[in-house]
Amino acid sequence: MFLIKKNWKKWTTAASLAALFAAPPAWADDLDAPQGVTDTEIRIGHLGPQTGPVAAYDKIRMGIQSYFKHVNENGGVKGRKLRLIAYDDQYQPGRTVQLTKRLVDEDKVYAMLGNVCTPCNVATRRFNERSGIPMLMTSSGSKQFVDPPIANYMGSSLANYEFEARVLTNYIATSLKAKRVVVAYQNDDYGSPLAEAAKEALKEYQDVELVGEVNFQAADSDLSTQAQRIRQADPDAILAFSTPAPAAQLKKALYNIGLSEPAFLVSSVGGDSETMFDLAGKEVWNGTISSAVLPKPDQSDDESIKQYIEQFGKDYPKVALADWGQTGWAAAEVLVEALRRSETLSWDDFLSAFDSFDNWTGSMYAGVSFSEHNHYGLTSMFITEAKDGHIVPISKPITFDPVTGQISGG
Amino acid sequence: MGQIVVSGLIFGCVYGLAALGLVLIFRTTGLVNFAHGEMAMVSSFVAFSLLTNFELPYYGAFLAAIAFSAFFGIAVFWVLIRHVSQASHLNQLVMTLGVFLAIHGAAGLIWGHTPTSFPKAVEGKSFSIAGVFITPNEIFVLVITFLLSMILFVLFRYTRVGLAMRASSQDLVAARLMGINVNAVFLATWAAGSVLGGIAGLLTAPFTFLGVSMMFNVLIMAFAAAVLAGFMSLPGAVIGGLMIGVFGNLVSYYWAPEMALVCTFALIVAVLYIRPQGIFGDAPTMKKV
Repeated sequence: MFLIKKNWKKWTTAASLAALFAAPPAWADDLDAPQGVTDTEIRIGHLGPQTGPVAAYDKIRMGIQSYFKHVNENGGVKGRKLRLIAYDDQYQPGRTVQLTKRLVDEDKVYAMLGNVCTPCNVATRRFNERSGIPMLMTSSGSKQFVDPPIANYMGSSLANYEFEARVLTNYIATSLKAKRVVVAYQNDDYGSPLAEAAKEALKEYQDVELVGEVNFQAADSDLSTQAQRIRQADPDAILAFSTPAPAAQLKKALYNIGLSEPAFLVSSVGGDSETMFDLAGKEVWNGTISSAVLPKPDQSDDESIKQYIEQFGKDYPKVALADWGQTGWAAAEVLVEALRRSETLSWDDFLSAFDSFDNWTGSMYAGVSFSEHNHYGLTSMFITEAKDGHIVPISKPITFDPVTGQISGG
Repeated sequence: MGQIVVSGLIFGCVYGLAALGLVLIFRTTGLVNFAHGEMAMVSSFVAFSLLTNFELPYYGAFLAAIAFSAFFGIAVFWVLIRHVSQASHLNQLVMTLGVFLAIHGAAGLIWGHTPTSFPKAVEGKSFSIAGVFITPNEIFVLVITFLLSMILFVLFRYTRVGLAMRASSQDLVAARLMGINVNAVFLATWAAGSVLGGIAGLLTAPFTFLGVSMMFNVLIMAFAAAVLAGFMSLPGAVIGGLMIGVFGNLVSYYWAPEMALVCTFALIVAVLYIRPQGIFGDAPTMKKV
């Protein structure tokens, strides 16, 4: 009996040592490669509305998916295929919180790319900061994700909202030379801060007066009272911060009461899409001024845009090319470039790789820059006008310096 | 002020038309149809498919969609609702809620979730009458609502079909004993209710854009209008819809847009507190024998 016991001890010790040296334990694997990376794939997460009233933003997911397909068909990144895991949060922060935990803790994605919806991103920010998961090219122009810089948040796929509000306000005062301005805004985490930024920016122009402000909800379908209030204010220019459907509703309501004279400006979220001609009507939407960070597919011979037209057109033949698909594609281009520049795939190396972007022009964006103090990524945009079914640029790139706050160009 | 009232009347008409279908089905079958809005949404998508895929003219697609609405209403009743007609009200409610969710989910899979524009019944620019702007399509909505509510009122009050509907709603056994084919009456009611919803959907889509969620807000307001009408009066449902449309717009204009919904439902609570049977409903009476 004693012998058996003695031998048993020997055997178990030997077996334990053998196991220790034969295969690396799970914790050692975790130390070498972060979650979401295997020998064959890199898993990337994405959250956004695939259903519901703002499902139009699902095209961002389609754009990412399409670019990943393009990259995978051309050999992948660092010998691995990119796999997108995307869930539908219906633009509801409560769902985003649950799904973020699912992506990070269960699906164990390497990074998240282009997550849509400002309030949803606000709701998950603390969790993401704690988990340290790289949050890339967030599809929100809210300053809070990039300034002051957060270690694991890199870039926005949209122009910074406050920068955009200042650029549009500047355009109203200097190019349109309007004197009476109404600010119309979606009454939520997206529209309200922009309206505040625009009102603040208007104070810089002494001869421009804020003659009224109206608000509405994202789901409102009758904006006739807001249109009536705007008519009472008798403005030269109307500056709207809105998602697409209410922006179209507002312009239609203004048009229906004969108010087509004042210039109508909409933030890029609600105005930089040719589907607006379909929603509001071509005649109604014509003349609308907005801003954009990406050129339209039919207005550029950029190599990246040619690839997008070919791949996205093949993957989603029924979806308009000049739409949010471009945003997803361009955001994915930045991710892939950072993966290529990263020495190893550890999160630290990967996030440090962004600092080497100095006005990088290899994507659809005019230029992408990051540094220790600049996590904006996109600091250039241009003014556009809706003309005969197309959104056309009417200014040269306008650049924003995140460190000094200076706006130049145009 | 005039513009605010007219705009309110237009949306009020849509609420009223949707409420008419709800009240008609409730009055005859005693069932609250939560799937009413989603059925209307499907009819609007059918019209849109006929317009875009088959390039039918607007009124051809409009009539075909209405015919589809009638068929859809009959199918929903015959396949699903008929089997819970003897069940408790709670079971019936859960059944229509289930139909609501099933239709919404299926529609999303078929047509996607991106809103798109829907053509107006009558194209044309707005014009001003005494300083109030109105479009030809808005006039069409007003006229259709008035005509439909009148036709329904006359049908319900003065025809044998209407009499059969009223008899079935009061006492099923007695109605059967009087030789009324109750199943046929219920089928006709679901067909008519669904057609009213379909028309509301077709008139709503140009305002709200065509999408699977287009009838959410309209249905909530239609319920409010129906409650205001005591869920029994057909003209009351339309008047309730108009009141809600105008009241909401006045609050939105003179106070704040975000207070419109709050005040509308506060008004309904106040009305129900003072008159639990609604403005147009009769107080419940019991005859002692």
